Amino acid sequence: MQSLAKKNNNMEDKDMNLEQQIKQIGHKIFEGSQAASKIFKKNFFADLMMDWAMKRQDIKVEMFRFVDVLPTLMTKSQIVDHLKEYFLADDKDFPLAIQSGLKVALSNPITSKVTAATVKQNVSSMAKAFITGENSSRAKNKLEDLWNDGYCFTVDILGEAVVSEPEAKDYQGRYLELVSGLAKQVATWNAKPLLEETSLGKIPRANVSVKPSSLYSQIDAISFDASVKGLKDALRPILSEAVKNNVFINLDMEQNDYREITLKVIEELFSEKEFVQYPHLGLVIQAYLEDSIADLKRVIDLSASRPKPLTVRLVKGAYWDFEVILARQRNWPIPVFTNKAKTDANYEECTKLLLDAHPKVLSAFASHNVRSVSHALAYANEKGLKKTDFEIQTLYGMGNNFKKPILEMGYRVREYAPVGEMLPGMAYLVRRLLENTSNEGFLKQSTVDLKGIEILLKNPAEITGE
Amino acid sequence: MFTNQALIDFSIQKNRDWIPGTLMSIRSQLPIKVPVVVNGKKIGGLESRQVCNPSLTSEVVAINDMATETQAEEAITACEKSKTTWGKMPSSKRANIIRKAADILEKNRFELTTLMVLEEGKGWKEADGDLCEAVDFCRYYADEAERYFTPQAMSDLPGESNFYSYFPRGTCLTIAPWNFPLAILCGMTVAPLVCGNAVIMKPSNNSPAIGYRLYEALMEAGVPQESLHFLTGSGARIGDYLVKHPKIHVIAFTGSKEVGLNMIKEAGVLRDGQRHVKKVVAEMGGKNAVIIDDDADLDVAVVHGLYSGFGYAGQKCSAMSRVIVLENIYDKFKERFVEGLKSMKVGAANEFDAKIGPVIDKASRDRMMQVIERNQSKIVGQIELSQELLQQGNFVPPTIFESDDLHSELGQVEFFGPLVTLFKVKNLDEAIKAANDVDYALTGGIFSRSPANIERAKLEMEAGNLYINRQCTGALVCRQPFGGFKLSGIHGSKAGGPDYLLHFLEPKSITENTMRRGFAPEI
Repeated sequence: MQSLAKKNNNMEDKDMNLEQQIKQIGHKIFEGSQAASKIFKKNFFADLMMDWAMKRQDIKVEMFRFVDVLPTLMTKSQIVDHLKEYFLADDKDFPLAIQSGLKVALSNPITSKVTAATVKQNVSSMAKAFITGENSSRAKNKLEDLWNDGYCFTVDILGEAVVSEPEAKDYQGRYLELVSGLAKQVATWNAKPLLEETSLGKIPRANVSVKPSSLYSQIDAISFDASVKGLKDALRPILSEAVKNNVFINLDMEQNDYREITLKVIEELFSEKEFVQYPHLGLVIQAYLEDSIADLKRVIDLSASRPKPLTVRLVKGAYWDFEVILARQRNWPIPVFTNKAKTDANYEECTKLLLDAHPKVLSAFASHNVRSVSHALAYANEKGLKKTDFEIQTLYGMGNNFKKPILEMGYRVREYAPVGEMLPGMAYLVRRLLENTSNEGFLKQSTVDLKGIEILLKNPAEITGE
Repeated sequence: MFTNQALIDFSIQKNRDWIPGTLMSIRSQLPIKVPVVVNGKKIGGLESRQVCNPSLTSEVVAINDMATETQAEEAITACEKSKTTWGKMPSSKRANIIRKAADILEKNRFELTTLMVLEEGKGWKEADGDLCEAVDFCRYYADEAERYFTPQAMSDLPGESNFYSYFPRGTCLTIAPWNFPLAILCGMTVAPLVCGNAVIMKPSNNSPAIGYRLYEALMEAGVPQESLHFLTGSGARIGDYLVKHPKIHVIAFTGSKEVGLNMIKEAGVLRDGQRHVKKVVAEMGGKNAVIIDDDADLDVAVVHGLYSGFGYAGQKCSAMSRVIVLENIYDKFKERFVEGLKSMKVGAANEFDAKIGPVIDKASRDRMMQVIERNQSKIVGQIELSQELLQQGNFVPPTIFESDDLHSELGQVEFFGPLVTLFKVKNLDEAIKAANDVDYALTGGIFSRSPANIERAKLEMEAGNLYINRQCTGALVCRQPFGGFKLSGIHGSKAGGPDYLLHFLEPKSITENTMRRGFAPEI
């Protein structure tokens, strides 16, 4: 009895200790971020847009819809028409600051054209903040800049939805080119031990993230076996090329409809003779899914059974709205946690599972949430892991000031860096803008005071319990 | 608020695991003997015909008996008795019997779905959707009937009570198509039934087995035998006989324009002994157009377009058969749409990876082949089929045509198969004009991101069901009440909508003077 109580006390002490560490790390990140925020130059147009979007939901909807359609508009007059329809229609009760300015600008043909061009250019430059370049050769310099600044990266190709097999083939070709091109390109770069060396050996500089839906156009939940086969066939050459060139490949996770298919592909393809020994393969677990713990356990077992471990990128998940909308329309159980704190708490549970299983499985914590990252860092520290035995992943162009302090603490920070043209990139941009302007977004995080910091660093398990 | 029956989530393994076993078990029971049933009695000694699996024509799915005028007459006589039993039953009791039928259908969903895959060549997801819609029709119309049968007070003045009440019309004839073999037959049967009418149901000769399962479910739920009769048979023979019969009150029909228009004409003739005007509720097809605006999101338009045009091999009344594309975006759309089609697999409906299945029967296949033959020079995309597949079932190579003649058969004639035609137009004015330049007005759609153009489409496109930035098929009960106008159907109400039951009800306005000797209870 007594020993049990003592054990419980020990556990509590340990938890207390962990919480304290999390808060310490969190404060350090916030302090560092405030110092860093002054370094990054502002984009006036983007700031203005974000500002309105955060104040007014109705303006946000019109703005993001406009940004979504903009790249398809081929002529200036089309742009002018759409600007009028989205922002000057009679039923729109938008602030004078927006409407009167725009009205004047669109009042005659000459200023209209100038406005159209300016708007397009501004949105382009906003996109450039999140997209490294139109193609891998354009992205080259930005990636090298990142590397020299002390960050590593994983490159993802943005593209239109794949609706046919020729489009899928085309995508596959782009991935193949990216894998071999990137490998050549990084070979000449300066050595960065922090980014390349772990206690399990060297990791590749070149790292590519692949979306399954871009490689096979006929994925369909009911056609499970054919979908798995189609994806494996499309992925195999990319993986071979990666093995040949020593490039890390991460298979991204998309909507829930494709989750089982993707997991099966991972289980089967990564176990093929050619790849089973390859140490640089990764996958994604989305902590917003109620089933994520079960999936993670399954993946850890798979990793443990391999000669070389897999790397799990732990994310919260980017399709929350989509999943909730679809489930509600279809009258299906909602697969994601509808309570934000529950997702955060589950993320921490997954973090623990991952770090407890190290080095049977390797981990990458992809989050912009300071609490989630601090928790991972504190728990890894408690487990006695080296700072380079796992990594933190962030999105290129997002919350830059938070990355710097993490980097300075001596951790490896990897940026998810998309390459692609503006047209297909728009969906990605809109998603990033939505995240930036959401209530939990880090634009909110970046302006908090000390009291706000305490709230942001609160244990999510306590919040869900309240 | 009404909640639709949820489709099966096939991404979950256990939701797919039942399929092979059920498929095998249903196949072992084939062919299904489908009798003619009048007044609860199976009629013997009739001629019969065979129904083959459209995906595998060597497999006989059903053998159905063919009713004659004798059974039609017996059914009519039995329906007279129903007026005093089913017709006088409290409406909530009738509603609960129909709800029970929904539960029975739901309970048997795997078997029924499998039967539709085999008998009508529907894919699994489509067949599951069909079943859910049938369940929805039962539950929705049951709710609606209870609403209608609650008498409404029309005023609150003293000395006079005014009530508005509904009563059953009489005997209804339901003539259903095969393309939603359970859902449409079910909707057109339970709507009149739940209103207290007697119903003679005549399923399509291409879908007798699933129709018979519905009849059985309704009987098991507690519909009296004199109130529902199951007559499979020749449309020209018993369909025609019943349409002309003086004791029929309402005819609910879904099918071709020619048959529907003729039915309306015949039903308009007053026959000996007939003391009422017949009502015809007809849904008669479409030549549905979808507009692709030059700012459309093609990622969405192509995927939804392919599904709208080729889902269930284009054999939905709502299917897209004309795509009207603005010239600025025409080439890009065409390329992606054609390649998208060519990437799809044609195969037996029961195969999971088949995206497009067969057409219903040989006659339909021959018709499609003739259209393809006549318009060879207009083909811009086609899936080539193997000889083996062509011999195995009623497969038609899914085809995309291109035409500049809105008045050709590609622009005007409903094919009811996997054939879609592209038309190039200069601007939205032309697009809307082209979309409306047909006899029909069933479904329609537009893919656009221009708020002004979307508004114009809402106002100007002639379509009973208009879809914006999504597929133009898959209407759900209560959420998207379904039906067209112009020559697509009798307007004024829609299936699965709040006024559909009015077709099967007779309103009565009842006024009572409650003042006697200067005294009224209300004052």
